[in-house]
Parts: sequence; C-alpha cells; structure tokens
Amino acid sequence: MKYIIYGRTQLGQVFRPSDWADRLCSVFSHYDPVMATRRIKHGAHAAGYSRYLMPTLVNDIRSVILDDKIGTVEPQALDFVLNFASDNNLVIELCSD
Amino acid sequence: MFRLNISMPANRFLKTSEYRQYADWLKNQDEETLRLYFGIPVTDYFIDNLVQSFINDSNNHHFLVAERNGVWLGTVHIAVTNETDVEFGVIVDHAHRKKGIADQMMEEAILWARNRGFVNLFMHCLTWNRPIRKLCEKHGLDVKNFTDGTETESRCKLPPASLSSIGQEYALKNRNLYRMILQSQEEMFNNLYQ
Repeated sequence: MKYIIYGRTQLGQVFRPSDWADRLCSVFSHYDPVMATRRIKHGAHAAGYSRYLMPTLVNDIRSVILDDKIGTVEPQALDFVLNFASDNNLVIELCSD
Repeated sequence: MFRLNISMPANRFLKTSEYRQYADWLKNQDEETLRLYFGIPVTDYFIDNLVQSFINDSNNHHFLVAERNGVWLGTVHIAVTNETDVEFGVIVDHAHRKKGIADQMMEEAILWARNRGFVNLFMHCLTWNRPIRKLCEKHGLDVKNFTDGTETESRCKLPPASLSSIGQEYALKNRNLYRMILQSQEEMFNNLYQ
C-alpha cells in the first residue's frame, strides 16, 4: 500500500519549509536494502533516497510518496512518517499503485 | 602605491541555466554550514535532487548570489510557495562571514519580493543558528520557536511596493553593475599603477 502525504495542512495552509519533503526523505534514505548496499560499496554520497519514501510534486504541491514496505525494513519508520504527517496535520491520501 | 580594492560583493540573480552551479557551490560548503542550513546531514545526492526540483519548477525558485570576481560568497534561495508567500534561505560562505554580506543580500531579496507583490516572508532555521535569527530580527521578521524547540520560524508582512521601493531596486541594480565593472577592472588598475 502506498500513501501520498501532501505539503498542505488540512486547513489548506502550505507546509514549511518548502523543501520539507526532500529533508524527510533524506533522513529515511537508509531504509532501503538497495541503497544500503550502494552506501557500503560507494560511500554515503552515492546513496539516493529510499524507494519507499520519495519526494514528488503532485498538482504543484511538494509531497512524498510513502510505501508501507518501509515497515519491512524498519517497522518504526512507517509509524514515524505517518505520525509526522498527522502531528503536522498534513493531508494523507491512499494511493492505488 | 595606489591599490584599488573593491571589497563589497556585487549581487545578481541567477539564470535557470546557472542553477546547477548553485548545487556545486552548496556541495563545496563545509558540513556544519550545510547541517545548520538544512537541519540534517545531507549528501551530494540530496543536493543534486533538490536543485533539480528547483530547475523543474524554476518559476517558483530564484537565487540571489553575492559575487566577487566570479567567486560566490553567499546565496539567498527565494522559494515562492504561493501567490502571496515567499520563503528565503540564506547561506554565506564560512570564509566570508561577519562582513555584512547576508544583510545586504537580505535587503535586496526583500525589495525583490515586495516589488513583485508578495505579502508574507518566511524563514526557517535551527533554533541555535543565532546569526540567522539575528538577521531575521534585524530585517523585521517575527522569530518564533516551534514547540519541540529545535526549529525556528520567522515571518513578517512585507509592505506593498511603492515608487520608492521600485527606485531602490533600480538603484541597487545599478550599484551592483558598477561594482561588477570595477571588480573586473581591479587587476588592470592595480597593474597600471604598480
């Protein structure tokens, strides 16, 4: 299951800072076995974001796509990201694919 | 002996084709500067991706650069978040701090935002980033700590554009142009009068 977490609050306000999605995904970039291998082989600077938490732009809104498979790598990561979204009152949508 | 020394930088806005240079400049900043700016340790991948997102959305991302003889001393990232709001991110190269560069860039960036009809200015920084907090206060932003105490949001209402603010922007543009010309001639002058 995938979620889209929008950079907009339930009240329609812009969530700040504007690069929040990139920062959040950077923090969770470790939680992907492929990236972890790349990190070991080529160093931290070569590693990209986790495939399970990616920044994106949806309808001109900076957002993140969260894949619940992140929970298979680190069970607390899924809860953390969902809690982060609800603590900040962000709009969360279930994604079909 | 006469020596020409144009110590103050000239500020200019980057073209979209130069945004990649911003990524390279960021990557050359020391770890502490980047951590203070982004609030997290960042990788080259993060910077490249972030700057790519700015390139893809270049209408909403602008960069003011303080430059001296082609060397960037500081940058202001201006992110347009909606029709009324802008967000600034200020970095000055470690070797060029405490020379009023950030102050000068802020003044120019605020005028730019004001003259384009933006109403709210936001800045974010880590609570312990005192130079940025001071800069915010100096330029009239209301500094507020978030509940967890690690991050600070500063905001202010920008006054509407006026004839005076538009005139000021033109004056600054001219000043920057003259500085750039003088900087480019600095070496020639110094060789001539040696």
